[in-house]
Amino acid sequence: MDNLTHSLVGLTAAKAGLERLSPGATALCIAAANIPDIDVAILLTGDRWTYLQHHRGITHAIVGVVALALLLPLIFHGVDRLWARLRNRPPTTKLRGLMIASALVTATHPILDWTNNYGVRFFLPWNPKWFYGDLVFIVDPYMWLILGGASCLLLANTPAKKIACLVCAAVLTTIVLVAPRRVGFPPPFFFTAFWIVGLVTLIVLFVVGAGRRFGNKIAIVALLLVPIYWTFLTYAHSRALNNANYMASEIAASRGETVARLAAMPTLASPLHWECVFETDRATYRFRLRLMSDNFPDSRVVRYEKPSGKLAEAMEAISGERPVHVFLGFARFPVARFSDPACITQTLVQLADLRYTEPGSTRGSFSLEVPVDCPTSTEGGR
Amino acid sequence: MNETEEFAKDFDNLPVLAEVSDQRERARKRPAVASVRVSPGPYFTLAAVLTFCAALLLRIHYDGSALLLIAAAWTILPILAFTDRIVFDGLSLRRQGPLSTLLHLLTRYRKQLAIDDFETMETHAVRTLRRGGRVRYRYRTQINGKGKEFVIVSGGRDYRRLVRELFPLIHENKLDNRTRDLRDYLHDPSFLNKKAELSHLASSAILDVAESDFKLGGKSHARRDDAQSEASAEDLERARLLRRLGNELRVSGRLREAGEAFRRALNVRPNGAWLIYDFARLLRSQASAQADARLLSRARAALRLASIRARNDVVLLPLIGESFLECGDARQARQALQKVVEIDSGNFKARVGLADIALREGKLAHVIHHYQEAARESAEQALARYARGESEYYMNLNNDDDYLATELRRISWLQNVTRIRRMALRVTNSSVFLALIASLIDPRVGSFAWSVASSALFVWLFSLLGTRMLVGRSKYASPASAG
Repeated sequence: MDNLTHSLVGLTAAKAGLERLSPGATALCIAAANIPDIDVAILLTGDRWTYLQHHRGITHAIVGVVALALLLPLIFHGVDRLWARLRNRPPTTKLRGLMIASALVTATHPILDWTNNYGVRFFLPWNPKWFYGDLVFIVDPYMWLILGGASCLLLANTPAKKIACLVCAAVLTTIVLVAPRRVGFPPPFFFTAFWIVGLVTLIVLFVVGAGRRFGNKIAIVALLLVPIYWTFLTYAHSRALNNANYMASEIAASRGETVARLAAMPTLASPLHWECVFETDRATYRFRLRLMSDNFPDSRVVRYEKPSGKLAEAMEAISGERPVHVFLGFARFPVARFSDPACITQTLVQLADLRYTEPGSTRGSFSLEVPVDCPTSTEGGR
Repeated sequence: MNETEEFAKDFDNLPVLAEVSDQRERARKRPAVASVRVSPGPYFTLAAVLTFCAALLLRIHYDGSALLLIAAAWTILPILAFTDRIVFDGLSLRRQGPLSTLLHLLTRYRKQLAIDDFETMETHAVRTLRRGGRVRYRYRTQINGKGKEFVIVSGGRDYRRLVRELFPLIHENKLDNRTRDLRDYLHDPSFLNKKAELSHLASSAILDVAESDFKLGGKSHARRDDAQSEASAEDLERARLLRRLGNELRVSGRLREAGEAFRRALNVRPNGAWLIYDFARLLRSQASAQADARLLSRARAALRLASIRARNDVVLLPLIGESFLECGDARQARQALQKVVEIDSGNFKARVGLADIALREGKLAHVIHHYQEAARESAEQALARYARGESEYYMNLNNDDDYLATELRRISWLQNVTRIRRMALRVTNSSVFLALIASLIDPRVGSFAWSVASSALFVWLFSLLGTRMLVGRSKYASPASAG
């Protein structure tokens, strides 16, 4: 998940009661909710492939989360003691409270991340297997609204905080409603309506003083709403998988292939739209489906044949290269093709993870182009 | 004092310092009278942790590093464990071995403690095996003095030699009951076998199946009370020898045979306070070995009888008081120790015992008073230092609420961390066991178990570090100096 969601989870957990465990627990909860993403520090010493290799790695695994959950409160407490000594006052934080808060909140990070289609390697360093929840899109505005709304209701008790909450709400509304329209991807109507109704509800709750009246119950309810939302998504996901399975079988049968594995993955702000990728014995396919509609793909079906012949040889030749090795370790549905099959001297092998993009398009570390000598004849591709 | 004066003073001290250094160097060269291997437990624990790390490296395909690590773990560490010894040279105790030498080279620190500086010696028996009436004991002797601590965990020949050579040189008041027992009664098994044979004691095999209806202070004994006054000198000597044998057998873990020896001794001399006290200690050992609460209450009853029979024996009564404390009977312990203090107000053991009881009851002022009295009356320098240190510590606790709060917090944390450490160790062990089995059935469950084991191991290491940090008392900064 994005760090805004993680931070909101930490903040809401603090407001739900963890803040009472120790002074400074709120700050610790926010830090603990984000601490596994400390793996970004690897960029200081390595390149983007190093980052891809280690992102959502050991810091998101059981071992790493336990270690971080223990270390963070100790650092907090240590800094507080040092600060207290410098200021000649007694330390204020309570280590036991910080430990409990840290343990609870740090654990939410890998769970939240698991719900995405990016995946988490829970059992590192013992087992590098990725685990995918495929429930929630990596950026989920519904969770922003639920958790952010609850946090704002409980936090905005001074004019400065009220202004900060208003600014945040305005910025987020711009990001989720206005910006996508500008780049030609208008958000679904349902989401637009939900967001506006949500904002209005929050303003009404704020005006009637719900924050003062209900206190931390609001945060508890917000935190409970998250698993309820996930339950709904789990149901939608199972429906999507059923439909996708039916469609994939039809598509594969029309080409005389059989479905080997299939995934239905969430899309931004739309629980009804699911991105489906499946693999057969000869190719990998991608299409989009819409729930509560006819059993037809909602978009064109993209097909990439599995590397064979010269492409397989080229893949074999480049598989020793570090970026390729890292990319193939990460990619869930890797596909490849030559950029110019009719080349004269050199061409590129274009790799992509079909979850996110297609070969030839430049989308961060989710695609890769590796120069190779031209093959005498080529096979594979779209 | 200005800088020049300070320098002059330091300069004056230089020959003294040089002499101390020479003395230490001479002590280092003195031949060992006895030496015992340091408990290899920590070394093997470290080797096990390194093996776990090697397995992890192997799993992530760092085969070379894994091999190197496992080779180091199982070659260097056993060598270090084998050569790390605690040596007694007749005057002091010191740590000796490659690790100690390395530490000395790096930090100029050598762990050494002169026997005059010993403050306390406490021994705990660790039961390792029980078969019938026999128990195999390992002893853990902890020696403290001048802020240093030596821990000897053993029960073998070297340990017995160390006990023979070292323990008799230590002041009586520095020893706890069990250390005293070891000093007086620990012998080689072959010697003890011969002694038991000469005493015509039935073997433990026979005693194991025999019914024991022996009751201390029963009617049969009452009848013999008169007979005791008529007991011949030969009989009394026989009772003394049997009591000694009983204690020797008890210390060696031959509890059933020890019981038989005491039974015979008590038949001859049923009212001997020392004999009853020793028998009570045997009952306590049996209660512990068999986890029998009834035997423990019998031990308490025997101790009560011993305290009655001891009358005004100021040597025995403090020992009885200490034994009462071991049995968890603070009220009786206080009575016994109070009686000693009434007779001999400067009795060190009684004062320390009473301070211990007062501490359990949370009466800090009493604790301070008893330690101060002990320090005032003690002619032995190390004991006086120990008692003074304790009284100062409790005085600081009593006078400074902040310090008391800090110490209470430390102790509470220490308890929590110890609990966590034990739990983490259990989880590690069971997870490794589960991982080894589950890996054969379902790799995913195996991986999960390995992950849990790694996490628990991490927590264990972490809590071990925490225990080390928390075990020492916090330094006291008086409000005046802090201000």
